[in-house]
Amino acid sequence: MTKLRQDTGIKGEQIALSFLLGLGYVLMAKNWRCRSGEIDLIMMDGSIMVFVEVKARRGTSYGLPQEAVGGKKQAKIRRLAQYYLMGAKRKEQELRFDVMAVTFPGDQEPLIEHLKGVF
Amino acid sequence: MRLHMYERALWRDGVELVAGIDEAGRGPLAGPVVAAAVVLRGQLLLSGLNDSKVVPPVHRQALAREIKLQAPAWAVGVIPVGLIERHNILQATYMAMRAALNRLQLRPEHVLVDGWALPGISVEQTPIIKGDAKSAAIAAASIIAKTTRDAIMTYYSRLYPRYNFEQNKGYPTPDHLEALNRFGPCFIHRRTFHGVREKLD
Repeated sequence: MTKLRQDTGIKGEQIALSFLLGLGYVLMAKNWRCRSGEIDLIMMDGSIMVFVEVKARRGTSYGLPQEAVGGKKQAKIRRLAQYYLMGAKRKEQELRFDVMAVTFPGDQEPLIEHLKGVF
Repeated sequence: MRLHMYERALWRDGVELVAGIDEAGRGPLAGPVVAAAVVLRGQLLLSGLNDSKVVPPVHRQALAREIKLQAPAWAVGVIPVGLIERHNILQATYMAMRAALNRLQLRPEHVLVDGWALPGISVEQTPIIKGDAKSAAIAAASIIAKTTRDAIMTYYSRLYPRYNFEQNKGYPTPDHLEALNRFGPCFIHRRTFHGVREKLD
């Protein structure tokens, strides 16, 4: 991965995190990983645990960020969420899966799109 | 040692610096709300470290001294009565906790919070109900918060000697309530609290 691509990802995650903190969400874990992969953000929206996938893009020429979370990726995040819940010993927990699409259109302000409960 | 259950799980995930946060003084009718944050790296081996409510006050002070020596970083946040009245006790408690966290010289990678989640912080957290009995970091924070608040109330007891704050720390004990009845509230009473509000002219 090039440095620039990595930077876009990290910046996107930071923007997404501060956006959600501003909504009153509580950060439980950031870049939580286990052998099968990583979850970008795990947050609490009131009593609902939200698993957030952050998609950051420069420009829109390769399509919208949220289109990059396909069926395979969705299944993977669901599986990771199961692992996290086992470790956190929370069995009776309401869940939600969100996508945060952060687009950097050149030199302008980043566009933030919060897609709630998309899968 | 059960007191490092949560810390151990975090170390296993490669998290080194874990902070515990706890508060003291949500219930009393007078005085500030105080929170403390204590950062731990590895185990904190102290005999008698447990819930601050069951540690006798004499040991508490010695423990607090030892924690301050051993911990890589510690800090307190104090929110005065004026802010408790303007917002409410829950928001004031959150403010105290955030203040303690922000004042730490070392930024922890993960925070263990006693009770419920602390909103508005960008550090990962795990809220633990009855955390002071389950986590060494929270137990340590609880001791620091309590001893700090006790010291503040002892100071106030000299300014307002009628209420016996040195003994009751502002909590609604019989002697405190009697003094409140006789003399009315003083400068450090929480005028929005039941028990004080009724005594205002």
